[in-house]
Parts: sequence; structure tokens; C-alpha cells
Amino acid sequence: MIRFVPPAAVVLVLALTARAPAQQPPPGPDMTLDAPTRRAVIDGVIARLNEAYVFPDTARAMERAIRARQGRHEYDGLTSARAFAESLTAHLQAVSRDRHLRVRYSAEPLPESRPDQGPGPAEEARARAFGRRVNYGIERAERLTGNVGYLEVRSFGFEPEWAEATVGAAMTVLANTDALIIDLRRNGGGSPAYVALISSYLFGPDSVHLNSLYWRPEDRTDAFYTRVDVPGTRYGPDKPVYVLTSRRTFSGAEEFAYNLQTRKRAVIVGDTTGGGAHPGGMRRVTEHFGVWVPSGRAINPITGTNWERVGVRPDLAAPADSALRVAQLAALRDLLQRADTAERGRLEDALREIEGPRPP
Amino acid sequence: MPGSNRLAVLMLAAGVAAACGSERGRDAASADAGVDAATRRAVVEGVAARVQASYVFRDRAAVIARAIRARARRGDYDGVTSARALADSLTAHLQAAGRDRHLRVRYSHDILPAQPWRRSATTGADSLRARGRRANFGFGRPRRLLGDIAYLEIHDFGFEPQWAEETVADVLTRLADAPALIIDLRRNGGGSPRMAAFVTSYFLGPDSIHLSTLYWRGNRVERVYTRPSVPGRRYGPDRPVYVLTSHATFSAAEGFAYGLQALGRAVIVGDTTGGGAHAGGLHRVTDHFGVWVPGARAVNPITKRNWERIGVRPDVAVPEREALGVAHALALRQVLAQEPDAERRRRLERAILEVERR
Repeated sequence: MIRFVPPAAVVLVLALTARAPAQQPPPGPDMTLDAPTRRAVIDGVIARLNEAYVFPDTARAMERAIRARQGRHEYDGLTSARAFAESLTAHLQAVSRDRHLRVRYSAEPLPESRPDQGPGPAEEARARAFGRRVNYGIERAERLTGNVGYLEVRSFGFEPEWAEATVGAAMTVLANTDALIIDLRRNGGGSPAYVALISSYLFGPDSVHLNSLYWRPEDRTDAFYTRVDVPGTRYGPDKPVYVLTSRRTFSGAEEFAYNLQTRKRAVIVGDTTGGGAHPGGMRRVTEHFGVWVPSGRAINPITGTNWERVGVRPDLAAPADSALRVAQLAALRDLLQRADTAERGRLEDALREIEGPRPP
Repeated sequence: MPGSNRLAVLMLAAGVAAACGSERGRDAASADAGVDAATRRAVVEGVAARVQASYVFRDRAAVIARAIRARARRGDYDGVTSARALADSLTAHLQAAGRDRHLRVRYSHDILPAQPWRRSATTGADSLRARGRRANFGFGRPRRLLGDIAYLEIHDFGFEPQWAEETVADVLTRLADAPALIIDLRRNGGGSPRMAAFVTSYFLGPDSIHLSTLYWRGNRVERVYTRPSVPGRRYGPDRPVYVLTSHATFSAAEGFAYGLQALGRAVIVGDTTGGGAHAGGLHRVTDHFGVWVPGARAVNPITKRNWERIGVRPDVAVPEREALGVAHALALRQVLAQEPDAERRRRLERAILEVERR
């Protein structure tokens, strides 16, 4: 499940559990549609939703809504493939309010999903190469003033086994900081197993149940836990953690924030997040159309619910572009409160550095 | 929810529960109960419906469900008054219709939760961890055989890695310096593919190797990788490993053997295994009855196939009760072939004579 899909790879590649479709690769040149194609797409989308959409009642409601529009000839004038995909998406989201649910047009033909085959070694190699190029989503790890650590994770969209050495190195670099800011403002989601891996560093040596995913087509629940053994240095359960969010923070990234918030392990700073708690995957409908079907839903073991539609509510609300500063100040103030006299000077200096000069 | 994780995740450990409350062995001794006509009907229809909805192959799912319903209409279950007999006969009929040894109906003395995730996270985790500790997370005590060949029995893979990491690290570290290793899976009925992958990681290098792909019926694809880093000491990719199998070796245990065989990393010694390559989980049917339904098939990325129905073919086929002796001798010969020191060679030769005499 790749957050940023490599150019030649098809959307069905590497279907991990959770994907965020918010940033799909460009569809390619537009195409003209005829009536039989439109009908086939509508029939196929409805079939996929009935098979797999996480709420069967809503799937039926979407079916009724689309058929009604079809009956009113609302799609007849849509000869642009892109416009058709956008229109269907809007209509489906109007009923479901599910921002994960999208119809996608692709100029490049989508491969038949051959259950026997799945993604092959060439595609895996491409995905790994892509992962390496983007450092498996670990965008930045650095120290900020006052010995506060900063980690930007741009995506959770990789197999954790590929990323673990990189994550371990980043966390080791940050291990000596007194507080940690994790920036997810540009993170659109990814693999819950990768979310669990990074979360593992923030807890102690007992495995913690972070989240469950219920898959409707299989009637199956997967639970995600922290790992006890992690490469590199564990950050530990005691030092303050702040997670930065924006409206773009979506899906797996929201899960990360929500897991930590429900366990009171982190303070969430920024905007309310996007509100997508339904993992799923892209399913091919026709040669050039696919539909991203949310087929599961997250269930937090503490709240019994999730952040679908409402998003994760920040503990410290702030416009996203000022969230880093707000978090830094909060972290330094928190550290100052517990600091002994020897430390106070240094922390006060750091605070002044960020706050800027006082007005006279 | 830990309980549901155990419920949902596993490739079946033979005869056992993924459901709350039961352990291997305890199942056999647990109390039976009577079933009335209403319960019988609910269970039979519930099993048929669940298999139809969730069995990994859609068309076969319909066939199996039809077969069960036909038997019900004929009155095959009307005389059954014992819960365990009902579970056993449904199991036999499911397996006959589906030819899939993973299909099982279970009677549970404890009530099966309707929504597993609603159970408290703490109590579930504590009880699973406690049960795991009592069972040493499926691992026997590592031993050294004549010639310093290490021997380890793994009874089952039925615990998720996150609880077992310390124990696995401890056991594997104690074997890490052995010149050769024999892993005994003759009584291992399966468990979690992730646990099997975690253990496999110790016998490879620091890479993330793609071991298996699970194709779920909902079109979802899940890939299982080894971990590049493991707690404790790695046995590594270079020294000989022998895996002992029997016909009772099943499910994730077969996956473990099959994966190592496909990588050329281990020599499989013993009988052809049971032939179950489907993952799935236990689904609640009624308060006391569940049905374990395979929802996914595992495919090995190297062979592009699996061991469903055919089992893992041993590299050295011998009756399972002879497998340990045969593997021991093979291991000694392999170590001898690479031993330069004359005194150690003499000792190994004596050990080979001793083992082969037995």
C-alpha cells in the first residue's frame, strides 16, 4: 500500500491493509466515453461496493442513489472520463460521506486482478526502490532548540520490514532529546503495521494494543500491537510527545494520532484531521476505471469507536502552519515546569528564542 | 482486541481454539452439553451461512453450504443431542464437502463474544499472555544432542510475536552457536503466519524476505516478511538446519517448513505434512458454537504455489518416528564434512556410529 504510487506501478500493487487515496498519481490524458462504457463502470462500481463496502446498508443506499441519477439521465452528457470519475465520486461521497471512497480513471490500463498472481517481483522491486528514494517516509529527524526532537513522517505507506532499519536510525538520533514532536501535517496514511512500528518506540517493554481493524467482506478483525523489540533506541513511555496535524492528515496518520491520544501518550497539536477511518483498497472495475473501496473500519480498543468523519480533535487547537511553533512552546514550557534550577536557564533561553523579543 | 486477534488471525492450530477459554488438551476434557432442536437448527444453518459468506473460494463455498443444508433437510442432524457430537459431525461433513482440513466447527464451554473487539483490552491481553507464558509460547526447551547438534521442538506457532519476543530471543540465542540445528515440528498444528515468519527471520540474514502472500476472499492481499533485525542472537543463514515433519504437521507449521525449503535454507526430514495452506479464523455462530473458516490462501512467492492438500514433500522421506535419528546422523555428517580439526573429526565419526547404531 503505497501512499505515493510509483509511476509505472498499477494501483492494485502491494495491497497492504490501509491505503490513503488522497494523493493518487495523475490519471493521464483524458478519454471519451460512450454509453456502454458508462453503464459498465456504473454496474461495476455498484457491484464492488455491494461486495465489499464496510457498511452494506450504505452500499445499498449508494446503489439506489446512483441508479436514480442514471434513471434521470444525469450521466448521459458526461463524455469525459475524468469528469465522469469525479462526478461518480462526488455522488458516492454525498451518500456515504466517506472520503476514502473514490472512483478513479486511469489512462494506463489497469491490470486484471488475478488472484493467483498479485503483484510480482518486478513490482515489488519498484516499490522498494521508491521507498528507498523517499526514505520510507522518514522525511526529517533533527534536534530543535532546548533539546526537543523533531520527526517528520510524510507517509506510513511502506512495509515496516523494509523501513525498520531507517526508523531505528532516526529514533536513535532522537533518543537523547527530552521531548519529541512528530509532524504528520502532510501525512495521508499507509500501513497500520508501519504505524504500529513507529508507535512502538513511544511505549515501554510491554506490548500495547493500539488499534483493531474490522474487515467486512471477511468478517475478520486484525489487531495491531506495539513491538517489544525494535531496532535502534526506544524513546520510551515517559518523555513528552506532541503530534502535529492538519486537515490533510488522513487515514493511517489519523490512526497514529488517535491511538496515542486515546492512550494519553501524546498531545495532538494543530487542526482537526481529515476523518477517514476506513481502510480498503483499489479495485479494478473496467480497463480504465477503478474504485477505491473502504472495506474495513478501525476500532480503537479504548473508545470502541474511531475518527470517521469527525477526525481527530486536537488537544491544542492551532492553525496547521503554526502548529510546530505552538508545540515547541508547549514542550519547552512543560520541560521548564519539571526542570531543576540548573536546567531552567537553558530552557528559558530556548523559549525566548522561539517567542521572539518581548514588547517593551 | 487481543482475544479477537487470537480469534481472527490464525492458521489453525490443530484441535484448538483460537477462541477464548480453551487450550489444547483442555478441549478434550471440557464438559459436553446437550443441544435441543432449536440450537441444532441455529448452529447448522449458521455454519452453512458463515461458510457460504466467508470461505476463501466463493464457488466452493456455495457447494459446501448446499451440502450441509441438504443433510439438514434429510434429517442427518435430528438425532444429535450432544454438543460435541454436533460439532464433530458438522466438521466431518464440512471437510468432506470442501476437502479442506481447516474447516472445523467448535463447541465452546465459554460463551463466544458476539463482537470480539468489545472485550476489554487489558483482560484479554493478560489472559493470552499468561496462557502463552505457561506454554512457553509454543517452544520446547532447546537441547544439545550427541556431537553438539542443537535440537528444538516447536509445539505450535499459536501466539503472536509481540508477546513471545523475549522467549523466542532467549531460546534462539541459546542455539545460536550450534554447528547444526534440528527443529521438530512433528506435533505442530499451526498458528500465526507472523509468528512463523518471525522465527524464520533467525535463520536468514538481516533482510526483509518476502515469505508468503495471503490472498483473502475480500480481494485483500497481505504480505508476510521476515524481520531484518531480531532480538537476541540470530542463528544466521549459513549453518545446516533440518526440519522434522509428520502427517500431523499442519497449516502455519507447514508454511514454515515450505518457506525454508523453497529458500533452500533447510532440509525437511520425515513424512509428508497435512496439506493445509489456508489462513482464517473462528467465527461465532451461536453463544457456544463457532466455525473456523479459511478466508485466505497462502502462496509462496518463490514457488508461486502452496501445499494445500498435497502437503510439504520431505527432502528425506522417512517414517516420522525415525525422523530425528535420521536428521541427527545427517547433521553430524554435514558438520563432519566441514570440520578441519582431526580430534573433533574423530569425535564426530564416533557420534555418527553411535547414532546410526540406534
